[in-house]
Amino acid sequence: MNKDEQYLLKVENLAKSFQLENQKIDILSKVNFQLERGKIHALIGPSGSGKSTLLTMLAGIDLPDRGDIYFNETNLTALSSAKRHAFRAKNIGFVFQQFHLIDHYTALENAALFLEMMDDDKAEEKASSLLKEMGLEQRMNHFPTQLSGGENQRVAIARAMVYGPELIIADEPTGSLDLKTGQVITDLLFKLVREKNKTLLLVTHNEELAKQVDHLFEVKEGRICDV
Amino acid sequence: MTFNLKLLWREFKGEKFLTFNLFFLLFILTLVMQVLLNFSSLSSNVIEGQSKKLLGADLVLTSRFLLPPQQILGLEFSDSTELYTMATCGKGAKLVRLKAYGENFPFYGKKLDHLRENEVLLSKDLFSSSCQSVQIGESSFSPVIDKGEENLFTGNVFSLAPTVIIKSAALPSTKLQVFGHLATYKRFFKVQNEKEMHEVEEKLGQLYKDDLAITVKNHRESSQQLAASFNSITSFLQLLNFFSALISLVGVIFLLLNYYRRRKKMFGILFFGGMEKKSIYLFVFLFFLMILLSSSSLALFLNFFVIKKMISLYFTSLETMSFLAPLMKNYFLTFSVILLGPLLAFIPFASLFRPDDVMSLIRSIEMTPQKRLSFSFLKSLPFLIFIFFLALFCIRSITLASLLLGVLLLLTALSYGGYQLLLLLIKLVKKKFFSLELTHRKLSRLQGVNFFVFLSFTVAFFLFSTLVQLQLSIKKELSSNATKERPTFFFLDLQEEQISSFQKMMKESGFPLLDISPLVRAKLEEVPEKKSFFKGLFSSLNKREEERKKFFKKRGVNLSYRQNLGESNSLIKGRPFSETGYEDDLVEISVEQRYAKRMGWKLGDEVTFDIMGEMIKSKIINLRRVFWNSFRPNFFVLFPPGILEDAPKSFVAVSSSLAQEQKKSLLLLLEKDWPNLSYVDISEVLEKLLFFFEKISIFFNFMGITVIICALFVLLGLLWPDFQQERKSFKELELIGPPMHHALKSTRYRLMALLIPSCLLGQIISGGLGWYLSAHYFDIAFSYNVFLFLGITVFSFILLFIFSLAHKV
Repeated sequence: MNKDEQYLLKVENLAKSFQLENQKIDILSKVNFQLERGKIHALIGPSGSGKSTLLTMLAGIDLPDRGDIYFNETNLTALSSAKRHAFRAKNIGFVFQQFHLIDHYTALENAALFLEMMDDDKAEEKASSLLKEMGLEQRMNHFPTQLSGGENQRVAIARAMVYGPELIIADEPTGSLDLKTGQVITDLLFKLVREKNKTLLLVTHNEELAKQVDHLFEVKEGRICDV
Repeated sequence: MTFNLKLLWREFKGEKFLTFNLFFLLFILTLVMQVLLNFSSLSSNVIEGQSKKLLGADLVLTSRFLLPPQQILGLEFSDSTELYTMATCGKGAKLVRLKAYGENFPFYGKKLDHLRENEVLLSKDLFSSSCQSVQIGESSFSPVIDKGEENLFTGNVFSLAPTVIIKSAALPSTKLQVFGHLATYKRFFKVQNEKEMHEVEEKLGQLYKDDLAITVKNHRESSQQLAASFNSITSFLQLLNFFSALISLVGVIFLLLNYYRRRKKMFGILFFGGMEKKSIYLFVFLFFLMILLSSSSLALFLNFFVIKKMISLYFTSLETMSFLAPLMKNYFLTFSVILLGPLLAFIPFASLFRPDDVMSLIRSIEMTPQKRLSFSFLKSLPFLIFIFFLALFCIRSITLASLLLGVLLLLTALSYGGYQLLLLLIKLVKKKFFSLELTHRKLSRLQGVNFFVFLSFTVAFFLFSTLVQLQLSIKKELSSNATKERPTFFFLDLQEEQISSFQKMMKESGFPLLDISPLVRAKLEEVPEKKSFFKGLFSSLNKREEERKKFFKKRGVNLSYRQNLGESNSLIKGRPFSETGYEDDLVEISVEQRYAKRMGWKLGDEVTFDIMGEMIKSKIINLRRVFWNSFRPNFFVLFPPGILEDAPKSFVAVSSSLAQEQKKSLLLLLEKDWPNLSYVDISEVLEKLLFFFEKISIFFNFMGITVIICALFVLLGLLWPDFQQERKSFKELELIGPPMHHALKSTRYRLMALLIPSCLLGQIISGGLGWYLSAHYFDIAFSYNVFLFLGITVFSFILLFIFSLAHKV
């Protein structure tokens, strides 16, 4: 494997600032890092350090002021908004801290949603099999309000992985869960990522969790450093 | 496509409450709009149909001399002869109006085919006892009783005088048609369309331009008074239509906005998962469209039966009424209006409709600058234009549509001013009460939402109050026509030399004489040319202008003269007659505003009348409104005294409604001493009109209640999500410890601050609009109902109480 093939995502000289009323706030400046294919990465940093801003740019939701983001050979910053949107939908799975499931959809419908969107005839079958794998066999026809926090997050993970994106971004996936449930969810997420040979970027405040990953980055004063 | 259908199905399942609300609101909206539209067109059809039936034809030519048989434009025609004579039945004898009809007459209404040459058709009340034969002139006839009493009225609008009918072929045998016996000869025409009617009128005008004894009358003119009264009802229906559409549209728009607010997260997730923006918009559109389709189809289905029921209840005599075509047309019109309205209303909020607002899905968004929602007049312009066209479509008057839009804008501006004033007042007194401090915080910091609620309350109270006020005014106006003081008995053809003796006779006999007005027959010789902005640009328009000018020339018109306009007239433009009665050597004239509008005349225009060959040049110095519902003798054109006194004229006298006995003795007197007088008793027509109004009052009330229900739905819909949010906050506050009564009080104060001032403001403005509409649109006297004002205010307090209770729960 050459060096280019080794990395799934490369960030080069990325910078982002916001204008808040009359004040310009530099959130990120000269950010450089790479995500290794098939590995688990964690991003840590204090609140307001720019982690979420970085995630929005890695996911192609927002654009940096300067710098490039390469996903395989594709420069995300050079794509049009529509192409970036389509690229993200196909290649990046996202797990949110607040789960963000659709309240009036069942667990199965939530998990199968993105596959259905891609007109996959076997959407429900695939989602159902993944949910079973995650121990939700008995809860598939329940609505999010009828599920516990941990179960909801498992459905959200299934939704992010069922259509096979290469990169999974998990934004504080255990932030809304208790310690024990959080550990169960993390173990499940790591297991699935490793089994399916996916790349994971985890944003977390949990230092114990951060110790379990392959690569750890810290956002500090607008820059990223390897820990 | 399959995915979209799947999403839609899940949406219907997941949004049961919203689906039901939207379905109900759209159903009510389409039902009300369709029923009102259909009812309006039905009413005008009835007016036209009834007048056609009353005349039995489209056009009638009346002459004092026998008309030579002459084909005009190859039209079908039928002749009749009318004369006054005595009819004897056993020992009873009566003066009757004998009508001898030719074949094929009437063209509309019940045919007379069954009548034989030796038979006479008469009313069962004509003679007190029955007899085997009726003697008319030198011939005797077998009596045939007209059960429906329809044919006896045919051919003479409003003429409820004792009429008997025989076949034309039987008239010579009576030997009544002799030289010196006053008879009226009529020729009835069947004209297929309006354009042909104009041509025939023009042709007849040219043929008989020198013969003033010949008059031409079409069925539309014949029903003017009746139509004027129906106009109030139809206009009210049109206004009700617009208001209900507006109220329901506000409700629909609010529900959809609320729906979007709740579904924003879902749209974000869908977008995140790869669904394109346009697909999300399409999904929302399809969701709305499917509810609209199902609710409006149900409304259409019900409407079909409502219309059918209406016809069977009120208009049994309209046999050939095709209502399915207008029903479908109105359905599509309503459908387009409801589909277009919310779409245009969303334009100002378009910036909020960003399904790609996925940033909010990711935590820590505080650092991302948030776009502030700002009101843009330009963005609201399409919706305002839509409201204008909606008003125009419902009311069919540019002036009124502009006025209503102006009033709504004024209402918005006043509500904004009122809201700011309210904040200032609360600010002044808040220091003394903690609950008021909380109220002020809520009202001042969430100004956008609270002002929207305040404005919605104001508009709802304004519309509701205006509707009820107008309904009450119209009902009062029409009902008062039934009182004995209202004129219902008209005497025509009274000669000048007969006036003093007629007045004396009326006084001595104890019959009230309300008014005597001179009537001069004239023909229009020269009419003002209508100035067209496009003149010279479009030759087709000029051609129409020429045709119009030709059409109006030689047209017959009834003139009268008096110094003052009279109690059923009011000046709206120009000045009263001067002492001389002349301006720039031209005779001053006063013209009824709607007539002037129809003719294309305006203040200062010059019109030349041909009165028995003498040309009188005149100038319009004022336009006046006529309260047609007064049923006084009113004229489109009035001259000042001193001009027409020498012209050949007759007089119209009016008496108020008479008791049956009085009527009988008056008829005997007329028969004996006043054979030349024609008389018309409109009391029965009036009764029919009132009966009709009473019937549709039920319909009015039903529609009124429906509109109120819609308004309540809107109001509840406006406040409910906010209540839910507040309840949640209260529960949280309770955990921390602050006493609940402050929070509860603050909510009550907020409700009171939003409800009561908006109720008063809405009602005050509705009073102004009600007065304007009554005076300038419905031609009725406006009476402000204090009880209504109090009732609505009490209603707002009850609403406040209910909301407070609901909130406590």
